[in-house]
Amino acid sequence: MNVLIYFCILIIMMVSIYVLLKSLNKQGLNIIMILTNILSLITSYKIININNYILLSNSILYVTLFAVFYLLIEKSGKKEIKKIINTNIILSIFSIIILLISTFYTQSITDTIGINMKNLFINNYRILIAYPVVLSSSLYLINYLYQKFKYAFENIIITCISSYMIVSVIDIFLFIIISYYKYYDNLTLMKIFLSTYMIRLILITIYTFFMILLTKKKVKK
Amino acid sequence: MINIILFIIELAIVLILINYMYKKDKIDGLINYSVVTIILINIISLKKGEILESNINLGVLLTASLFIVSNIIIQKKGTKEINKYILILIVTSIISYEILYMMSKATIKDSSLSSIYYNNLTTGNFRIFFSNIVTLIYCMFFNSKLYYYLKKEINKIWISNIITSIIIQLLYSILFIILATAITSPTYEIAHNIVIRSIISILICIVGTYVIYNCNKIKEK
Repeated sequence: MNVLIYFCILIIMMVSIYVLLKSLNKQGLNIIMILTNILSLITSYKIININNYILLSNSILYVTLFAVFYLLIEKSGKKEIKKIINTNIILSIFSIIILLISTFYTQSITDTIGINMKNLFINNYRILIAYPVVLSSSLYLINYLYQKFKYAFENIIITCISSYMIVSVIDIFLFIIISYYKYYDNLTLMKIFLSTYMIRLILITIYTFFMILLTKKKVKK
Repeated sequence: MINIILFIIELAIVLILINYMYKKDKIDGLINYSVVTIILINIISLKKGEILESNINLGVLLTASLFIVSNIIIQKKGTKEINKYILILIVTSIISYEILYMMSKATIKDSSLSSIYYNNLTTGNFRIFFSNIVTLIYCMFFNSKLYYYLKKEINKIWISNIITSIIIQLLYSILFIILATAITSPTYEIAHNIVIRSIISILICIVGTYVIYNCNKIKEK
């Protein structure tokens, strides 16, 4: 079931990237990046099983965010990229503040959602701290590594996959430690780390080939 | 009392962010803000808070802020740009709801409490999502026509904004509350909620006139 859900989300994301890139170009990519950013913040609260692997459910959205970021790095200058990173950080902090404020509202007597919101956002406040910290460090680091590897390897596939391999180790480790340390035992944390890392690597490989197909220029005969 | 204080803080944050995003990225910044807001509305509007002795869905402030943003876009770019804006809102809202819903159907790790709360939060709220999106599309189109007409005829920001706010927010509240709560709530409660919700959203839009003025002063490149 979970594999099917992941597959459906992957298809939705790929179609959205294709449609928005073709219709709005860079602005479309920006929209997809912000969309996946906020959705992955919200879905990061859930831990799911895929066969025997336990992983963070936001993996697919988070990888999509980075895949779109790679496309934006290719299409924009250094200044623009900094602007994109800052916008994403500001908007994720804004979302966190709004989610917290709406959790603190006194709910009406008939409301049941308020209890779930409180349990989700207040009891797991560590995720709200971890997410913007991890996101900002990963985006800056991946931008730096991409520029370095691009000249070193001169191959887009190796550049994307190798830079993501390095960044995601730090990314997942930091996120799991800040959010779930002492919440789960060390063995479970290790399992989450390894499964999430593996799934994200598979996803970024799929996305890299998809991006190459997407940006391939047609040569007129 | 605490709800009113939180409401004022939220309003201040939202208005400051709209202003900041416009200063930084012009219309693209406003579109980015709206993408985040529409995702947050899908979650926040599920909770009902007690404001002025009435049970109000908390998305009211963010929804009203989308109308402020759309008025800024009409003021600057006219009705062509607003059609694109509405299309982006529809697409992002549908994608975000779909993904949040699909994730809630994914099977979870046994001991994860946060996953259970996530599922409770995002399952079975299709009616509110449907009411939100249908009402938003209808009112946005109507708002753009009315605001543009008043802008052409009178060309005074505060008159155009106040008149459109009064008509559109009243219409929005009636449609939304009837679609979201009819049959399940008693008639007097529905009428009471419509009045209070309309007053709150009209007030937000009137305060938003200052932001429209401010953005109008900033020249496009």
